[in-house]
Amino acid sequence: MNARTRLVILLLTGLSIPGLFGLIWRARTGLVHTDLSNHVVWGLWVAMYIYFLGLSAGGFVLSSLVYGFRIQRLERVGKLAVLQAFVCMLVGVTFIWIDLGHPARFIYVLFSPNPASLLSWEAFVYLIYLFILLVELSILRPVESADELPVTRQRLLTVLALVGIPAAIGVHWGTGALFAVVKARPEWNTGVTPVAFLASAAASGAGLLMVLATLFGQKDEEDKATMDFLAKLTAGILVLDALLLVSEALVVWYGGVEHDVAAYRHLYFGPYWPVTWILHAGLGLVIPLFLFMTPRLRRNRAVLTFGAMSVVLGVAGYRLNIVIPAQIDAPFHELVTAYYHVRNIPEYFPSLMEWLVSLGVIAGGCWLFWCAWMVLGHRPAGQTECAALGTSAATR
Amino acid sequence: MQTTRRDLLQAGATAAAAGVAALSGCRPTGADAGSSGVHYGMVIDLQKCIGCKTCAVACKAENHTPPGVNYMVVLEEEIGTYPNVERRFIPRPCMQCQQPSCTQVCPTRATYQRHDGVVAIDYDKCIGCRYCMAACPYGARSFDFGHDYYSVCRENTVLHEGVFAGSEPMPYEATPSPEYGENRLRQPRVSPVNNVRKCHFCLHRVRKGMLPACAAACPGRAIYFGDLNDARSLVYRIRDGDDPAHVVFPHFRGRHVMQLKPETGNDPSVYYLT
Repeated sequence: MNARTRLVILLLTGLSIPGLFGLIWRARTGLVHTDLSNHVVWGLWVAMYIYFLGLSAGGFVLSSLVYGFRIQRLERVGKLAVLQAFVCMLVGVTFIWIDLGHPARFIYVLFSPNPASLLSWEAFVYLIYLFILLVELSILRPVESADELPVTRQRLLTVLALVGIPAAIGVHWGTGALFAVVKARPEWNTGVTPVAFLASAAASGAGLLMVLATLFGQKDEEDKATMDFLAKLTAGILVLDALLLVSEALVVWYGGVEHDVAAYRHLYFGPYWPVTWILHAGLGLVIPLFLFMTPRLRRNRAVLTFGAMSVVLGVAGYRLNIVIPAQIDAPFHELVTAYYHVRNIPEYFPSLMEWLVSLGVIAGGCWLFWCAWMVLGHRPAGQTECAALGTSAATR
Repeated sequence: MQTTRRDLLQAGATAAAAGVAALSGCRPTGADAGSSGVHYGMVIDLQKCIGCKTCAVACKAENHTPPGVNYMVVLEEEIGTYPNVERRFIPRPCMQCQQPSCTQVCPTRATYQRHDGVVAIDYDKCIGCRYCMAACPYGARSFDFGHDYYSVCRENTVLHEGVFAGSEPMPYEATPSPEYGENRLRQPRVSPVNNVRKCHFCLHRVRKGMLPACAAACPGRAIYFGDLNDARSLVYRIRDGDDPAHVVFPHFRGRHVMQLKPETGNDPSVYYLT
C-alpha cells in the first residue's frame, strides 16, 4: 500500500466516522432532529438528491457521446463517466431514501404506484437507468476502450448508450418536472425548471468528470485534449444555463406578481444571498466561465481542475437554491402566526444531523467509487485482478 | 329445487362482493358503503366567526394531535390602518378539494379521495415523502415529527431505546386516537409518527351521525357541515343561497359565497360566507 492509497483511506475514514454517527442518529430518531418544518418540507437531503442525480445524468450523457456517438476525444474518460453515473445515481437515491419518514416503505412506490404521480414514474425510470448502467459497467469491466470489445458487445454498448440517453434525460428532466408541476410553489411552477435542471446537470456532470479524470486518469497529450474538450463543452452548457436563469428571473421581475417575486427576493436579497451570489453565481458560473473561456488558462491542467471543482460546488449551491427558498413563503402569510411551534417557523438551515448524514452518504459514495474503480480501472497487461485491487491506485 | 348455473353464478358473485366489502371494511381505504352520491362539505360564516379558536382546540382534543400537527387553524388578518382597523378570522380546515393536488402527486396512493369527497390518508401506506405537503396550496398538511406535549420541556422529545424520553405520557396522550376509526396508540416511530397528517372532517364522528369536532364546538355556530349534494341539507342551501328558492334564513340572503384560492382549480369543498 503506497502513501497515496493510505492518504485516501485515511481521508475517507475521517469522513465516514462522523457520517456513520449521523446515519445511526437518523435511524434511531427519525426526522425529529432535522430543521424541516411544515413549511420547508424538503431540505438539504432533497437538494443533495437532485444534485447527485444531476451529476449522474451529466456523466451518463458524456459517456453516451463516447459509446453511442463514437466521439473519440472522450474515449479516455468513457468508463470513468459510466462509473460516475452509476455511483452518483446510487448516492442520489440513497439521499431521497433517507429523507423518507418511513424508509422501509419505499417498496410501496413500486408495488402500489400512482399513475398520476411523477414520483411514481421516476422510481421506475431510476430502476431502468440503474440497470442500463450496471450492464454497461459489466461490459466495460475487462477492457480499457470499447474498441477492444468483440463487435457484438460493441453494438450492445452502442444500443445501451443510445437507449440510456432518454432514460438519463428522464431521470433528471423528470426530477425537474417533479418540482415544476407543483402549482403551490410559484418559483418551481414554470416550464423552464426541468430544462434548467438538465442544463445544470450536464455542466456539473462534465465538471465532476474533469475532476475524476485528474484524480484517476492518465496524464498525457491525449488526456490534455480530452480536458480541453470537456472544458469547452462545460463552458457552452454554463452559458445556456445562465441564459435560462436570467430569462426566468427577468420574466418574474418584469411581471411583478407578489407571490412570484417573493421567492426571488429571498434568493437574491434574503437570507440565502451567499448561496446565490457566492456559490451559484460566483463559483458555479462566473469563475468557471472565465477560466474555461480564456485559451491561455485552459492550457493549464491545475486551472482546469480548479474550474471544474468550482462548477461542481457551484451547482450544489444552485440545487440548494432550487429546493429551499421556494418553500419559505407559506401558502398564507397568516398561517405562520396561527399557532406557535418550532415546526411552524418558515426558516431553514440544515441541522447537525442533516450535515452528518450528508457527509456519511457522500463518504459512502466515495468508498464505492474508489473500490469500484480498483476493479474496473485500467490494469497493466499481465496483472491479475486480485493484485490490481491492491496496487491500481498507485499505477494510475 | 334445482340449482341452475345462473343461481350458482349469482351466489358466487354475492359471496365475492361480500368478501371484498368485508376486506375493504378492515381498512380506512375506499368509500363507506352506501355513501356514493354524498359529498361532504363545509360552509364557514366569516361574519359569525369571533376568532376564539375553539374549533382548533376541539380538533386537537378530538384527534389527539401532537404539537406541530394542526388540522384546523384560524388565520387572523388585520385590514386597514389605525383608526380604521378591522380584524378578520378565517378558520382553515383541509379544503377537501374535488381536484386535489395532494392525491395527484402521492407516489403510493396513500392519500386518496373517498367517494364522499373527503381526502383521507392511509397511514400504513404513507412513506413520508412530504410531496403532498409541498403540493398543497392551502398548507393544510402537517408532518408528524414525533413531538409530544408531555416531553416538550425536555429536549424536544428524543426517542430512543423504543420509548419516549422524558416523563410519562399524560393520560390524554396515552389513549388511542379515534382518527379513521383506527384507534391508534401513539408510539415512537410507529405511524402516524413520521407520516403526513391532515383534517379528515372527523370521519369517525360523521360515521356515527355526529358533526366534526370543530363544527360541534363552535360557540358562534359559524361552521356548517353536511352533504353538498343533498338539496335538503343546510350547507347546500347556504352555498346556493343566492337562489331565492333555496334561501332558508334571511341572514344568508344575498351573502357572497367564496372558495379560497379558486384560481388553483382545486375546487375546495369548504366554502366561506363573507
